[in-house]
Amino acid sequence: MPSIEAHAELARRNQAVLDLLLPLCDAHSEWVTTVAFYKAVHIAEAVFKHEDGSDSTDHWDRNQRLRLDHSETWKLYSSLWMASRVARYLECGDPGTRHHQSYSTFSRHRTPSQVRNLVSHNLRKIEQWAENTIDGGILFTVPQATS
Amino acid sequence: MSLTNDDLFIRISHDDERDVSFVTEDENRFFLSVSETIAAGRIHIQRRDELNETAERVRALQKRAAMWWKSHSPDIKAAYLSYRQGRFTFLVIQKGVPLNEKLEQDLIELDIQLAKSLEVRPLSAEVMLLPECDDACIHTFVPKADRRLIPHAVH
Repeated sequence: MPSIEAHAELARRNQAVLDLLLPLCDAHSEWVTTVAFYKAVHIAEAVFKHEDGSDSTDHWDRNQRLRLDHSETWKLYSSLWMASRVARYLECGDPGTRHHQSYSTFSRHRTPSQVRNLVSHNLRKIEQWAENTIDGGILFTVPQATS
Repeated sequence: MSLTNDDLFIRISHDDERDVSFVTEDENRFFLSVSETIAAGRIHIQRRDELNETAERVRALQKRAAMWWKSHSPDIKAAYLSYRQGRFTFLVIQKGVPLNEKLEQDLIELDIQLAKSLEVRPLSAEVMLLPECDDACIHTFVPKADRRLIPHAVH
């Protein structure tokens, strides 16, 4: 059962990957979306751990608690959840096939600009919600070093 | 001729010491004690009530999904309500591939309403929005056999 700090550390590691991927978002928006979603998962779990010490058993369990107890956060999280499922699972099919004609790439559905907004707006707001809820200086992103 | 209670009912009283004989439509015959018969009846009533209540909740869910579809139909290619692994999924296929952000936000609002609806709870229901794609693509999310089209929800 991971601690709040363990979830925060995993969130920070996801952010480190996001920092590497974001400049490549035009080419790899599926992965930006996927990593952003899993960072949000750890943030939500850290909040739940803070609230009552519990861990979600699966996505459904986590989603339902967000829906019912944190509706405003769920609105932000839900976009990430749906986007990451499309990014991971929607079949594109082989070029030249009917599948490919109807849906060729994730970036035709959700543009890189929209994906960047998922990170800069949705994920950032989720992070702020968690930092305000948990308090005590927990960080889900390593602060940028100032020179 | 008016019917007496005896004409309408087979009365089985808890203090009756005889067994109850049953004959089914396929001529299967079996016996239960009175206490077993009463216990079986109670289980049936509870199950029947639970099924009726679940059916009402499913109808409420179908109605909500259909109303939502109706008010958003110009933007929707197709919509399905499926049941799989103990959960309902309201799967909406938008028109066109580029994300319809307004449709997504409205669908998320519906998702919250369903989760909080006293008519629908405690049924488990979630929503999912997909870009316009062919049937094989949708299969990844909900197998064809589990899909039920929302009535008239195909454009």
